[in-house]
Amino acid sequence: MMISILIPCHNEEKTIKECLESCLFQTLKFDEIIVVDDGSTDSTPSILESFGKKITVVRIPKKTGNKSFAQQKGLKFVTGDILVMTDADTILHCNFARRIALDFKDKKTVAVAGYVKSLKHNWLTACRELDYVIGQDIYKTAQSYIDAVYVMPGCASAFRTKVFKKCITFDHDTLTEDLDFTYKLHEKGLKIKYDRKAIVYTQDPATIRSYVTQMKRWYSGGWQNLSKHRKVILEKPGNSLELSLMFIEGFMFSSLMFIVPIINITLFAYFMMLYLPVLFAFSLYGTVKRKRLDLLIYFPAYLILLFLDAYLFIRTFFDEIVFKNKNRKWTIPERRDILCNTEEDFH
Amino acid sequence: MQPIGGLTVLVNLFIIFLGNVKKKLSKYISLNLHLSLPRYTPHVIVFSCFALSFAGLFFIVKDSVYSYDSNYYIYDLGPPCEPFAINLSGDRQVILRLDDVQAFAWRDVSFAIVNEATSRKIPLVLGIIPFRLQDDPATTGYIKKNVCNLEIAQHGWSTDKYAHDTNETEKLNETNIYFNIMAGKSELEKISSDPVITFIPPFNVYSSKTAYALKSAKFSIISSDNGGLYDSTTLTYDYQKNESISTSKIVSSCEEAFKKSLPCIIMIHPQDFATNGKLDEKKYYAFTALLDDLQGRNVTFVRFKDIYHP
Repeated sequence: MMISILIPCHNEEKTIKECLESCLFQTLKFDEIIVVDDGSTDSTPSILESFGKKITVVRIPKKTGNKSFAQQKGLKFVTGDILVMTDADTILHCNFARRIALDFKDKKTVAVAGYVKSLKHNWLTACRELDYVIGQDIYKTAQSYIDAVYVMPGCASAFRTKVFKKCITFDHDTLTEDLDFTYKLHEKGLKIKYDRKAIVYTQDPATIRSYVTQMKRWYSGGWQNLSKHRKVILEKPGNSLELSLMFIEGFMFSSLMFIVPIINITLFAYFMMLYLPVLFAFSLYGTVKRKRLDLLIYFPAYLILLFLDAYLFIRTFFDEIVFKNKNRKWTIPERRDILCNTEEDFH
Repeated sequence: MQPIGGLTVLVNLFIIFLGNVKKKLSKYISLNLHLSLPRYTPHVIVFSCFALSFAGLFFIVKDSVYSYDSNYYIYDLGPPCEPFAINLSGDRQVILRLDDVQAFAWRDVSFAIVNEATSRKIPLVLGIIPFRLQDDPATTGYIKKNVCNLEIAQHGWSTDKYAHDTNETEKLNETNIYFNIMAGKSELEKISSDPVITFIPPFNVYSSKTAYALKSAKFSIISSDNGGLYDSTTLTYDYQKNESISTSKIVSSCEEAFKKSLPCIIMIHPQDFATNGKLDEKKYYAFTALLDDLQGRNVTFVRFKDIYHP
């Protein structure tokens, strides 16, 4: 079974080297590493060249402006039986490829969703890590029990190449292509496995500005895909349960975050007092699980982000669903150098 | 991820629990169970959960905006307030000062005391804490209904908080104290038929700055422990010994006041007759016994405003 990995990149000079090294130093080697250079104007091309024949570089002279365009170009060069997709700001755990190979031994498995950890940087990344803990250890684990994995993370997903080429089309009509792929697999009734041991480390926004940009993209993509694949809600019971809960509760909760303080500030204060210990419990769990004290230190900041998330969630709902202002603009995320102080985690 | 409420977390934790139970069981017995959901189950679950949430939310919002309060309507029924005649000629005057009347707390006890007094044609002075009063239409509605036989006195520094601290106004200047007190006063005047001119300092303590501010706020009567115009003679509960003061002791304090040609001002608190926030019949009996005793002693019951002559 041949395993290929596809990495689209655009101006990734700060992270691409570490990303490729993590792909090369796997306990089970990738048979093919394909990097799609989407019109980079920084030193990314020369870094890619330094890897020589260890990788295959597909060059797009002029940037396409969207990750899924780059992936589509790169897909033509994939020859492996298994296609792994990741991002250029992501570092794979040394056992990632081995885990993926194991997962695909089950013939029914068509796709694998990996487990994402956030690279440590500041309070924002700590809050994001807490988000990942709740999202993956609770939401996604439960979803996997009822065959309703909500999303295969763009930085940690793997597919049977044949099935991917046959069932998945690059529509470029949403901002979250990974979510689009996941919905398409669900529509076809194909099995997605969630492997908590297929770990990747990704770089998350470290400034409020980039955080807002990313959340807007994620939420817009979420609403776009929900609207595009609404059939899934009616036809797949598991997905129906998860999607209804996530989106209806998300919307109700977000609205209440702003309505309740206006109606009754005391009630809101009580609610927050109740919310804080629950959040503390999650952050304590995350701290122990991840061995990251910053999750505990910064957990109160999560409340601030909660307001921000609530606002963005409602705003994107109105933009995408009510006013149909379809946002297709892909924003280039901010990158920073990957520090190797967490190297023991990778290997 | 979507903003995290609580329902999704709970449902997902339950699914994980079921999944783990299934896994554990299949280790020991060969089970061919699938954790799959019948087609319309999720819709029923989600609909039920959200129906319940909406119902809960409705009651929360209803309580919060106070658009409807069953108590309010109950107390709003019945005939309008009819003032009863107050005998001002007697020289053995008793003023019942019911302090700590406030939104929500000991509401039933306060109402019971007012009902008891009204049924005996005894006027009362209510020392009302203005904090969150506007949020409790049951209390304001009830007071409005009976206000013709009551005197509304302010018993708090502001509308922002309870009076937790005896020196609460010490940190403020006269102007700030004035504005705080005025905020409370304007709330009370919404339920009072007359301008509110009586102030009962919380804990019966106030500073010279407060006195100045009270004067500016046009409070003519201050009833405290010491130094007010009408200071309390006795109270119904000994907070240091944590026990009720006997009727005989209260009556003898009154008799002493009468000898000095002073009115007997009895300070009452609803909490004196309550246990765990509810009316305690046993304690309340002492109050009715006191009223029986006083009424048998040829005293006249009045309010501050009845005897105050500027």
